[in-house]
Amino acid sequence: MESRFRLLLLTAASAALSGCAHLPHLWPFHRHGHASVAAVGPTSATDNAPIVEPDIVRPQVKVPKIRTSNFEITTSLGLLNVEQYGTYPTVDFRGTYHIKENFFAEASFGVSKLRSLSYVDSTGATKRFPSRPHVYNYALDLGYDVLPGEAFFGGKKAFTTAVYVVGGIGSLHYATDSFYAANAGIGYRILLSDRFAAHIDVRDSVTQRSLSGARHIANNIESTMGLSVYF
Amino acid sequence: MRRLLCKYAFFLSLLPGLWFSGVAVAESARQFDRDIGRYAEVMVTGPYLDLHTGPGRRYPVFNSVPRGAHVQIILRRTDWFKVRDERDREGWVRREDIEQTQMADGAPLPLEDPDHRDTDALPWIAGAASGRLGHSWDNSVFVGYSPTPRLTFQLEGSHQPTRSYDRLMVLAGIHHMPKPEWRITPFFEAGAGITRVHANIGYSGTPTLGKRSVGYYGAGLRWEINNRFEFRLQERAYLLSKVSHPNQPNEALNEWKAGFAFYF
Repeated sequence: MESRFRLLLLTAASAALSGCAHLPHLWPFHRHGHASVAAVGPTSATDNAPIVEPDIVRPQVKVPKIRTSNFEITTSLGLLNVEQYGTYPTVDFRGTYHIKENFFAEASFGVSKLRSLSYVDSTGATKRFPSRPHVYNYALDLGYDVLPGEAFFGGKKAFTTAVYVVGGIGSLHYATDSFYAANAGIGYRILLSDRFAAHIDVRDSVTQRSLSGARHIANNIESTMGLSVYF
Repeated sequence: MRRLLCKYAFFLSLLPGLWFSGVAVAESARQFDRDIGRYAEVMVTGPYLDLHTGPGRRYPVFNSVPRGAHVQIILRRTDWFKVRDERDREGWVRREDIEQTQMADGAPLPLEDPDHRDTDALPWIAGAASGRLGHSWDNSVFVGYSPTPRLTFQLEGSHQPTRSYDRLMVLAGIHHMPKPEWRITPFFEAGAGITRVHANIGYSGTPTLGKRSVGYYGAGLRWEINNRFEFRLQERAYLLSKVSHPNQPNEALNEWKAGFAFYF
C-alpha cells in the first residue's frame, strides 16, 4: 500500500516537473538563467550573420521592346462614279488606326479628274467648264471587322483576312460644288505579311443636291483596290 | 567495286561528318535561335498558350504551346501578340494569355495598358467630329497633346462644304477637363485661328469671302468607351472678325457637333 502511494506521488511529481519545463516563462530564475547563457554565447550581431554567405548574382535581363503596329497607311486605285457626271479613275490615300482587335478609325482622301467638260447647273441647264475639273473627296470613318477568316493558297499557305464595314461622314467636291456626305462601305482585307495588306473596297458617299429646285439624293460609288503598310 | 570503294574511301569517311554538320546547320537554322536577343522571350507558366491564326478572338486556334516552353514576342497589334515558339510556329496570342508567362528572371512580362490619364504613355489624341455650324454641316479633324491628364493643346482643321461656298478653319486651342477620372466627364475649351471662305458657282453673296480671324469658346462631354477611345458631344460659339468695312459687325456663329477620339 505504501509503495503504491510512493509510486503515485513520484509519478505526479515527475509529471509536474516536466510540465514546468515546458513553461519556462513563468519562472524568473529561468529567464535569468537563459540570459546568462546568452551572455556567454555569441553576440547578437554575429548571431544574425549567416554561416555561409550566399553568392547570388541576379541576372540583368534586358527585355527587347515589343514592336507595335496599330497604324496603317493605304494607297488605292479604282473608279469613282459621280452621279450625273460619269465614272472616272481615282486615287485614294487612307490612314487607319486600329483601336481594338475588330475596331478601327480611318481618314481618307481621294482625288479624281472628270473627263466631261459639261455639267448641269442648279437650274437644270447644261454648261461647260473651261478645263477638266477635279473631284476631291474625303471621309472620316469608323470601321468594324465583321467576318474575320483565312484565305488558302495551295495546300500550305494561308493568309489572314477580314471583311469589314465602315461608316462615317465626309465631303465631295466636284466641278463647281461642295457637298457634305455620309459614307458607308464594305471592304476585304488580306494580310500578306506582318507589314503589308491588300484591300478591296466599295464605298458609297451619299450627298444631297438641289437639282432644278428639287432635292435629290445622289449616290457616288467608289470601288478601289489598294496596298497598305502597317507600322 | 572494291577498288572503287578504296579509291573513294577518304570521301566516304567524310560522309558521317557531313551528315552531323548538316544536322548542326539545320539546328542553328531555326528562326527561333537566330532571333534570340532580338525579341522579348518568355516562358509559358500557364497550362498552355493557344495560338490563333489571326489577331482576334474569332480567328481559330490552330495549335498550342505547352507549359515550360519558350516563345518570342514578335509583334503587338492592339491587344494581340504575334509569337514564335521553339518549333518556329507562329501564331497570335491574346493579352490575357500572354500574361500567363514569365521572363528569364522570373518576373512577369511588363505589359503596358495605359489609358488617357497616363499622359506619359499616351500623350497624343486624335479624332474627328461632325455637326452643324450655322445652317450647314461641318466636318473637323483634330490632333492634341496632353502634358497633364487635365490639359490638352489642340490643333484642329474644319471644313464646311456647301453648294455655294466652302469654309475652311484652322484653329489652335486649349482643352481643359476638370475631372479626368470620370467615365463621362465635362470639358471646356477656348482658342483662336483663321477661317477662309471660298465661293462656288452657286455663291449668293453670304458669307463674306476671304480670310478672317476667329476666336471660340465651348463646352462638351467626353464619354470614355475604353482606355483608348471616346465619344464627344460639344457646343461652341465662334466670333469672326470684321473683314473690310469698319461698320460691319463681328459675325457670330454657333456650332454643335459629335465625334470620336482615340489616344496614342
